[in-house]
Amino acid sequence: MRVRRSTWILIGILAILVGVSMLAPVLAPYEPNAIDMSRIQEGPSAAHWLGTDNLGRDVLSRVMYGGRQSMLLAVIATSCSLLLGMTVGVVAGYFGGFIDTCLTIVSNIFQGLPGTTLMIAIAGIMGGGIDSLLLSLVLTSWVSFSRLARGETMAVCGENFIEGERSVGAGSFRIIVRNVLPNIIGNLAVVFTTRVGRAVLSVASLSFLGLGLQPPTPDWGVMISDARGMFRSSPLLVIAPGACIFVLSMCVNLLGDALRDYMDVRSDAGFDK
Amino acid sequence: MIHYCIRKLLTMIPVLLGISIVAFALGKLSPGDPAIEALRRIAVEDPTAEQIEAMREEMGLLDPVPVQYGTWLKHALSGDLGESYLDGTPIGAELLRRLPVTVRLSLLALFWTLLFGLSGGICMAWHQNSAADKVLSGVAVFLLSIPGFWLAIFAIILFSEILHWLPTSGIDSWRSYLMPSLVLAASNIGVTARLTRGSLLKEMGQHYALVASSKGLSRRSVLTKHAFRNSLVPVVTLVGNYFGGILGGSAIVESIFAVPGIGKYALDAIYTRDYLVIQGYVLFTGATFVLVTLAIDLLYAVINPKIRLEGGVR
Repeated sequence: MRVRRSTWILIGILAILVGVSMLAPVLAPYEPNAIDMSRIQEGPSAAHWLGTDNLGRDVLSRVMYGGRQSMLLAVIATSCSLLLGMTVGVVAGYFGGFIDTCLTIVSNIFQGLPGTTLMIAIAGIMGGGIDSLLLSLVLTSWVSFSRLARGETMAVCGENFIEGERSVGAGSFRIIVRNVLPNIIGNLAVVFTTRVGRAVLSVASLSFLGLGLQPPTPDWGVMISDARGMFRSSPLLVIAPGACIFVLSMCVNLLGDALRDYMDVRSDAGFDK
Repeated sequence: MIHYCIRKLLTMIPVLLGISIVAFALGKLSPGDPAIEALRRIAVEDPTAEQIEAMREEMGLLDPVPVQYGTWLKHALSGDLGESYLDGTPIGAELLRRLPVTVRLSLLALFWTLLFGLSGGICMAWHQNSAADKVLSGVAVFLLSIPGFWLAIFAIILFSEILHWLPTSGIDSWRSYLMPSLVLAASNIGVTARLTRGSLLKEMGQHYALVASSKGLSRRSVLTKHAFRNSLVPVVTLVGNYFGGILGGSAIVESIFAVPGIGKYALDAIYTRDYLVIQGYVLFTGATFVLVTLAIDLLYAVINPKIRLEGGVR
């Protein structure tokens, strides 16, 4: 039950990122969309720690606001994918047979389409925005949960204690809730973490392409997209939001690693020490 | 082995059908009335209700949806994916013309992934827990966490604008492919290196590796002659997934580096609301991905002796 110190540092950084984003309305020195045409593309100063952008908006305030929507979207979308994927996977793995075959074919179809392609297509046809982002994130990531859940469920169902439960008359629903889910939730948590990291990157990429969150939303991806041509004159406009995405995604990835080591599931961890 | 190949070929069919259904559905879900769009293209700016109705009839839009799907699929199979709203060029031909660019870019990225991913992973496993292992592990996490488009911006600034080594955009020579393919490969290099390291260390801890080293084989021989081949199995299984990621991700890279591939075509089409192009792009990318995955599965059969000798696992 020992948690490494490096893990605590990770959790600390993540807490700061999430905390600042949540408290942005209180902490941010300026309104994120307040335009000030008298102060365009200024460098860092006491009044504007990270300078201002091409419309004179305060970059620090925008960076503080910039993760709110993408973090929330990533967590909500991944939770929906987890619920959908887990349900499909457990049902397929537990009941097997015809249901399993059908569900496996459906998940193969979604696996046969590159995620980014489907995301671009959905966002392109439905138009950018939160709805299409949510839909495309869920459609592209539920399969990774369903595959894992199916495999794990099949493994758990092969154990003797499930047979025991059945012999004392427990129904399928009861076995799934009481015995199967607690046994597979750990592995799903690991995948959940890495998927949240991927979702943050996906939201940022789509917003960068103009297919995700739309300007003037203060969002990291949107900010980089806006400032792309101004790198030589004001590099901070690109560096600051990008660094936030990078740090967030790296912390989530490392947290996923720590979680996997901790769970010690299907990993190299046992041979690592 | 033949059974395995046939089974793989058969499982491909429902997947391809499913992808075509998804592509068809995307086209159906697109906003706007195709009949009105078609009338606009023949310069009927303000069509009457009768004209629209006649056009719907002519385009088969009044048929039941499964019939429409059938007709669409028949056309798609013969290479007819409709015409671009923008300039009336056939979409299938345009996609085919651009496909080699995307495939070249993706295969090069896959090559970098395997080259750097495998060698990095082997290096980390060989020097397990040393400083080199820790540094490379850090690099791997760095690569898989960095947003590709952000990396691309820095790469352009550094290699094109400051150092003038590589062109910023276009595909004038092989040098134009270097930067986009490396940016595209970055995250996969990180994933592959970590996976190879884990897989190799796991194999090195297996009984057969212990037996081999207790027979007096050097650590190097155990690794190269025995463990490496086995450790490739999980890596190769995932190569198909990487290729999917690369193929999809190439759209972003193509757009930043102005590479005229199918991803750039689809993105440009989105901005001009050319929905048939998006539909064709989904179908095309899906089919390419499935075919490459099939090729990788067959390769997997060659590497994995369980399949090669017994004719299939599970």
